Amino acid sequence: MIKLRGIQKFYRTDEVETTALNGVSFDIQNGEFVAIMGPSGCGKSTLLNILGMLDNPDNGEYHFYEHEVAGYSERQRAELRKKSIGFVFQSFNLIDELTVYENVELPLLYLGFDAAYRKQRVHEVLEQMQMMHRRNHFPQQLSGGQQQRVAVSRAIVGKPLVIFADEPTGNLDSKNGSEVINLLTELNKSGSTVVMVTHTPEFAEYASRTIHLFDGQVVTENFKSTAKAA
Amino acid sequence: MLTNYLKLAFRALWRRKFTTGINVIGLALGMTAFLFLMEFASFHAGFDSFHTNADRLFRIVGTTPQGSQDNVSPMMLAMRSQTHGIEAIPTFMTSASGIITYKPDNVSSASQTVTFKEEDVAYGNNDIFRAFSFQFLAGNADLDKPNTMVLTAAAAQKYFACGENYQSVIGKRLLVANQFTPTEYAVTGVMRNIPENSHLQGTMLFSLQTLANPANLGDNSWARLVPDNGSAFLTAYLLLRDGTQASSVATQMSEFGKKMDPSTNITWHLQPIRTIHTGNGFSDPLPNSAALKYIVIAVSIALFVLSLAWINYINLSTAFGLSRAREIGVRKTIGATRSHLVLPHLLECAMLSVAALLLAFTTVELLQSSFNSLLGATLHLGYVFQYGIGTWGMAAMLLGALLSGSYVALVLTGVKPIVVLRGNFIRSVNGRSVRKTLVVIQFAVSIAFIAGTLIVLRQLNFMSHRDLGMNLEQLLVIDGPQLVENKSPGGNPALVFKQEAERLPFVRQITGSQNIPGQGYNFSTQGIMRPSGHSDDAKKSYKILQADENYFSTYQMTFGEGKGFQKTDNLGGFKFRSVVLNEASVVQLGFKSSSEAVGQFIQWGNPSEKSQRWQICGVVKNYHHKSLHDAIEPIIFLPSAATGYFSLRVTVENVQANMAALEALYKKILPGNPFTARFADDIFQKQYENDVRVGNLFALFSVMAIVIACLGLFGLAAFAAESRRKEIGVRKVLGATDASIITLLSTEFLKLVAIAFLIACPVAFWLMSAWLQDFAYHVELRSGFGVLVFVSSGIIAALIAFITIAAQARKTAQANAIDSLRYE
Repeated sequence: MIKLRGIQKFYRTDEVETTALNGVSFDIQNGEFVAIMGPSGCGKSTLLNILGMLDNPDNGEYHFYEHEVAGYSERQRAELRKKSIGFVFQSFNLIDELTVYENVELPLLYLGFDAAYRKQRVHEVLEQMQMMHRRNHFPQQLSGGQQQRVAVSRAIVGKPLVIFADEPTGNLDSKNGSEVINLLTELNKSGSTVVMVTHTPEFAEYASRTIHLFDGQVVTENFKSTAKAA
Repeated sequence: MLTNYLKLAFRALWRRKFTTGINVIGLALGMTAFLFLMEFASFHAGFDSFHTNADRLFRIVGTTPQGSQDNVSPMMLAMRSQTHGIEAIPTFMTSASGIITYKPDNVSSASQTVTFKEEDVAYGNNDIFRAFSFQFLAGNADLDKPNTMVLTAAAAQKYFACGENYQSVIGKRLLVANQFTPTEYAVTGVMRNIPENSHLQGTMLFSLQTLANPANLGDNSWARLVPDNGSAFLTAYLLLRDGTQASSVATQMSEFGKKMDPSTNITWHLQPIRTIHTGNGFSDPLPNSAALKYIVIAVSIALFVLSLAWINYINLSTAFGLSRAREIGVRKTIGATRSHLVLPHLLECAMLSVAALLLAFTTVELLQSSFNSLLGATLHLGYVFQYGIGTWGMAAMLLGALLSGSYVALVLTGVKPIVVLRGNFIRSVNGRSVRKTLVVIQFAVSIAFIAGTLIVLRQLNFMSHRDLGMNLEQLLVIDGPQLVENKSPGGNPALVFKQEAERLPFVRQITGSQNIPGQGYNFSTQGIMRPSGHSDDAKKSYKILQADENYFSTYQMTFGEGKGFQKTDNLGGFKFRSVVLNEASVVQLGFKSSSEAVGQFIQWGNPSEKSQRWQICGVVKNYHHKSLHDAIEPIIFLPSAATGYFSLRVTVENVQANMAALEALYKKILPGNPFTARFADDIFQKQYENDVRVGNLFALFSVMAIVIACLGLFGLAAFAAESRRKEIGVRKVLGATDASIITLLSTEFLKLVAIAFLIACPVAFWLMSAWLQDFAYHVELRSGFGVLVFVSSGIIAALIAFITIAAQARKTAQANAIDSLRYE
């Protein structure tokens, strides 16, 4: 489970200091589907970067399961990140030189799994995402929706504890966007914790809880007894 | 995992064809230059290494306070019986040029006779083949028997047209006519041509033992091969037994020498055979070819050019690598560690290097013959792998690949994923100053090379156009005869030829001399002074040239005072009534002026002998007897009916027919002597062969350096244009013209070229001044010319740089602004 307490983050240039996050605190329980919303520049992505251990907070505590991450070195964060976190990005961030299969296999390679297991697991995930027939294609040969499905495959292939999705529908049309949201909802139902940053209230509806940010602070937390049905 | 990485590396290179292409071409160019130079360096460093016994082979060298020489007397070689540790004493008597004739048996017709004048022949003993690794194609050496000989495959083909059938040559006889009694030698063996990287060269070796017979010596008693002969005319080597210390043998020799002649001041040394070509260091006092200097220069240039290529690789890869930052950020986000990322980059570098190396090897193979003719050598790639230095060179190349590859990999994989994902990596200033520094280095080297080339070319031009103080145009030089029947009824046939030749209609004037300009003198001597001179004057050295009375007028030299000598001024028996000096002699003898000198006497040797006093009849103005490398030396001209060389002033027309007429006359009067005719200006220019090669090399490597630098610049300009696309779009929307944008993009790089110029000038000035010191007469760098050279080098580099950048900038400037903005 995830616990944030008084998280602060500042960006400094020579003359100006901007507060990106100003005392953000909340918890995320195992198996939750949390949406983070807010206007441009409110600190959503900064928060997701800290949650995803891509960045350290300047102040505050960040407990990720049994780890106190806030003081971790980059190396320690990287080690923890690769074992427990999957990422989905707005711009997919697939690697152009790699095929669908290789993109999905990548996290397993870095986790040091043997070839036989990698093959079996990648097949499993690609079947699940219905991308098996495209496994030898390169990203640029796929539609946006397909690319994002590959990205989701890559995020879940290592069986992470949490999936962080940064506006996963932002580059997709509404049909493909819905498909991706459905995917995330299904993953959540099968036990994965999902944290998603989104601009679209409609997609936030799918989450069990929505956290609203404004000027680097949490303004409201909407709990829902039941998330919108898929 | 590795195959996976290889596949990835290949795909990454393939996708970025533009950068990959520039990188491969740049690296291949650098490697090509590197390989050529390493061939050269290896060739020279490997001299005499092919002898199996090279470690145990030494040349005997004696040193005195005045200097060192490699000549040894039969008396010294008698030390063999009293010295321990000697296995063999290979002994040569060199400089035995002569006329060699082959008369086939059973053929009387003179037309079947084969005659050549040979310069590279020597006498030797059989220890030569015990010690050195010369291989036989047929027969064997039997040089301890008199009247035997060994020749090389080339000589066998030249005299016997034997093709590959060398066995057929065994037993054939050649007649050798030189300073010794004409003698016949039977061929006992044909050996392979001597490898080019041997300091011992030659085509024929006659048994030295033949000269042990006094009848064969003629009147050359100095060459008696007896233990009491102290005249040093032999070149000898020692093959030491395993484990023998060279220094102890040398000490024993010096002790032996003292015992034989207590007054001697010669210390004997054993010079390792491998150091004869290179020297044992820059200041090796023993005689050597000082090739070490050239090896060091070649290796330095090789490493320099190669570094330029690696710099390119680093520049381009880090610049374009920034566009790969996203990929690296993504990989890091999903769990890649640094080592996961470094390895594929190293593999990419390795693949680039291998591709470049293959291209370089191909280029070297294709251009080898052109390079060889440029250098006047017969180099090949084999040399690079044959000797230690080449191996080190290849190791340096690998190390360069590893270092630059690692640097690139570390820079690229150093990106923080958060920076990348925020999307502002392209504006990161990381590595920009490093790249700028590297561009400055590249251009500094290029500018220095350009300046070097201009200076070498100017010096060559200076040398070929300088007024030499004589006229070498339309002057034909014919080698004098070596086979002369002294008791000819009509007098000395060589002089008869001179008289007859002068009557030919196209010959305006003819002179005989013992040596010629561009080649040398008769000899140099000390002990010439004014009768009133100080005893120290006797230590000054003069060059002596014997020539007939027409020498000065044929070469169109000018007399400063007085006039030339007459035929009758030669009194015979090396006694002369009057002599001619050049101005340098006048100064060295201490006369205030040429007019003061004329009519005065000088003496040579014992002042009591009146006959050795010569009156100065004229002073010829200084002229360049040797190349402009050498300062004009004091020369004393002695009157002589010299027949060593005939120089003929001829008319311009019908050169071929005239030459044929001369040859016919020569062969008629001087049968058996080969006819060799050259033009005097060719002989003189031949002295600059090496300088011309240096010029060619400089030009070649300047072009390479500038091409490599420009490839890099082109890539960087492309990158700059790419990363400033949005800025340019905005500027265009705001009304910037294409020209102003080209200026904007070019100025940044031209500033770097300007800094490079400031660095290159002093370095090139210093290096080229050192090079010019090799010439007694040279262009002056501290002059308008010097300023012009450096300024034009800078302008050339800047122009080439500008064209390179502008091509790229123009494309960017003309792109549609909206596209640029939308792209962002």
